[in-house]
Amino acid sequence: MGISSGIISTVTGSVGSVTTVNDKTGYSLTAGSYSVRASSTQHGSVSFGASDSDLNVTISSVTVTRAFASGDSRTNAVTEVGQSFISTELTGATTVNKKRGASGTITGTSAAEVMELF
Amino acid sequence: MALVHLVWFRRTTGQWIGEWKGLVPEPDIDPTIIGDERLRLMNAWQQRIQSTLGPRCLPGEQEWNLDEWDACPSGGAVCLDVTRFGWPIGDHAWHRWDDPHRMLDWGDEHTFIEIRTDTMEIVANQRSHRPIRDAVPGQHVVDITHTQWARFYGRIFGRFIWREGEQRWSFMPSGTEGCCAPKELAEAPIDLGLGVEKESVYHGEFVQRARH
Repeated sequence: MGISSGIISTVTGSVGSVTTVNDKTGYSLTAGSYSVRASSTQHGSVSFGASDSDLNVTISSVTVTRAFASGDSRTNAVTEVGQSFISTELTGATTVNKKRGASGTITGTSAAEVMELF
Repeated sequence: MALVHLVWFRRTTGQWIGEWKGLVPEPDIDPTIIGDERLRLMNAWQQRIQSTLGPRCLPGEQEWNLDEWDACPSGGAVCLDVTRFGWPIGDHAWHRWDDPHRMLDWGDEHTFIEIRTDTMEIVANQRSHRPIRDAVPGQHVVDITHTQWARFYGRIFGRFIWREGEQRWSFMPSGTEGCCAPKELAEAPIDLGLGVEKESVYHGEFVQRARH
């Protein structure tokens, strides 16, 4: 995940002692004491083939808290695009669903967008 | 006790140092104090709390870049309360701290592909400012940022085949002309972060199943 190998993880607990172990921090800021740039986004696309009339694909996702999601459908063929929508769960997965709207040969991708505003 | 999620960054480079989430004593601040003075007292309270926190020292959900921690001089870090985001531990690793403007900023998006580990087919191309972790059983997310794969984002669909003689994965693009990744990716190196544990036959070709 782009994080260096020097990672440690332990179980959840609480602060017990008051021993100073961190002299590296010059200052601390609580929420409201600093700003955050605009938003974060996730864009995902899945592929579907000509024989897919009703396709559901579940993909891993960022864990969303205040995010909203939207879906679209793109094709590279000449016939109808069809319908596409997605549903978002808070557990880190997003389901992309594509339904063919008409007969004919359709291939392309369905896309999912997740955006979190601050 | 209050649940807090704290993140440390280098002040000079903006680089993420680590994160800690856990229970701490509630701040004891006169509720009649408001505005800038309250913020000052809250920041001072947090500075006291965080002075007890660091790698290897206390229970709590945490992740650290120990190289950055060791390289950071005294006073060289800033500690932010990021509880309001509600993100998992480690998700701030790609954030950048802008010290002069006191602003938390985003780094470049990362690019990912997601594969089914039984057929080794690519099921999704993704981009995100935040880490995308494996969340679907039987699927695995691979970060391809800064590799030659990344520039073909949105067109990387197909499947991987294990080349036993060369001990590497090769890529077989799928899709119609113009919408799939170019054939040059077939020989492009990639680290899928997967082992190989058993042989199988898929679509008439020799492949090996990935160990996930």
